[in-house]
Amino acid sequence: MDYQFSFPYIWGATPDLLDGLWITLIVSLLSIIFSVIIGVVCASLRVFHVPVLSSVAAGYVHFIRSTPLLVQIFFIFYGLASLGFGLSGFWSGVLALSLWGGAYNTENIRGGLSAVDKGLKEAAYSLGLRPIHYLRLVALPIGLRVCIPALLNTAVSVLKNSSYLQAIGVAELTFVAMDRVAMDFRTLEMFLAIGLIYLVIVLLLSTAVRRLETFLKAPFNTA
Amino acid sequence: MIQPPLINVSGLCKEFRGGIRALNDINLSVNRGEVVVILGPSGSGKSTLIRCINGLEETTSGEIKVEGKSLAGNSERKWRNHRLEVGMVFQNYALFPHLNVIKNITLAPLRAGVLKKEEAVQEARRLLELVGLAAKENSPVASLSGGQQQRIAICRALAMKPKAILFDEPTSALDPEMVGEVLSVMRRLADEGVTMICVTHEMGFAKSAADRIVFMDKGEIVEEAPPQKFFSAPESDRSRRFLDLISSHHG
Ligand SMILES: Nc1ncnc2c1ncn2[C@@H]1O[C@H](COP(=O)(O)OP(=O)(O)OP(=O)(O)O)[C@@H](O)[C@H]1O
Ligand SMILES: [Mg+2]
Repeated sequence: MDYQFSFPYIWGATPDLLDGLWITLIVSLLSIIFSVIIGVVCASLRVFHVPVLSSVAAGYVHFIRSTPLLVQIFFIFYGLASLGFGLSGFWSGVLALSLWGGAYNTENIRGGLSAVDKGLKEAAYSLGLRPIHYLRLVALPIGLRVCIPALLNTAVSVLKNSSYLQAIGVAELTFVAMDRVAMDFRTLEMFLAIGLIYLVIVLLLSTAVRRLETFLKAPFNTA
Repeated sequence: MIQPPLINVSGLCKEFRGGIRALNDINLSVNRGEVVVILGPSGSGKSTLIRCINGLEETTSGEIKVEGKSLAGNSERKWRNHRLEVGMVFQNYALFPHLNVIKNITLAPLRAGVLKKEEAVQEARRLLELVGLAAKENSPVASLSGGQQQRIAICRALAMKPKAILFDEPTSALDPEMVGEVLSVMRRLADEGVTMICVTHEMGFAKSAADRIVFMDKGEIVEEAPPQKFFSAPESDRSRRFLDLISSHHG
């Protein structure tokens, strides 16, 4: 057992790691944005009991939550290709993570929307607002604020789960580390390095979202 | 030509799921400029009646007309147009907590296309002036007292220029020292000829501001009379018992 931990090795790997980090960040950012959009749409369909579409949304959420993410990723990358809808690894990854996060965000946002005081809906309707205006101008601004912590949780999971995309050859952070490990067998260095990088981005993301939450909740807390 | 009543309710019945009959054959006419105060014990159907008039509850049978136009058909759009004609003020104010005072007031007129941005703001300022809250224009609503919030809620309803305003116990959630400021705004509206239907337990307001008292019990209108008559010589036993109960409470 004379494994020599080598900091210089990590240092030397930095350019590769930065390339991977960049891909991780882009994939995660896109997936988080799409997953919130999917969540808003599906949660709204559910909360307003839109015929047919509400059930479709429910089925989608159920399906995603009951199957492993890796299976979903393979299904989209290999499965769709065999049907003739082949997507690149990158876009397969974004699609899979967006759908995965979207299912969880549907539940998160549904929770937020149902926490909105029922009296506000009546007030809005009594003022002649259309349901879509009530949704956009009252329910979502309030409901989304309520579920920011849950959305953050899901966003963090999306970010961490982007490491699964190494399985379909997307050159994100984990892929880069595996790649170097396969060449140089510097397992400890590489996995410690990417572990720390993931930790730092999650912390940064959490801090940013908490700031946003404090800022957005300001009008509620002045009583 | 005889003008039709502004609001006309005929044969209105409302049964909730589970067979609770909240309203039973209600007939009520409200003329332009009239102030009607609805009194009655808890559970008598007062809220249900004005919620039906505002289209917040589906009716079981009967008809509600505003200016002679019936609400039959019940399409979403008809309901919306109907709701544009009658405003509503709720017991718990129900202001939009994420918006400041002036945005609460201008939100609906802007969305419904009733007013342009500039006009809406001007109108909101005029209304805030009217209720004595001009200085609070940019305050978050959470920073206001209950009485102030309820006065804002009245402005919000007025901003839609409704033909009538419905109040459901507008002062019941308020601390006693704030009841007066809301009632005085309502009294002022009454004096200006705004048509109002008001559910309240404030007998002083009922006596001085109402043109007519409607007394309800068990989902029915038991008695309708001008306030002087209702409070001094109620016709039915049930009204008398109600008034006895009230006066024993308030001395
Ligand atoms: N959503 C509902 N579902 C079932 N029953 C209801 C519902 N709302 C009201 N009721 C019933 O209808 C009846 C009339 O209620 P309503 O709220 O109109 O009375 P109210 O006169 O306003 O009483 P209060 O003075 O306590 O406000 C009551 O028996 C009540 O339990
Ligand atoms: Mg009531």
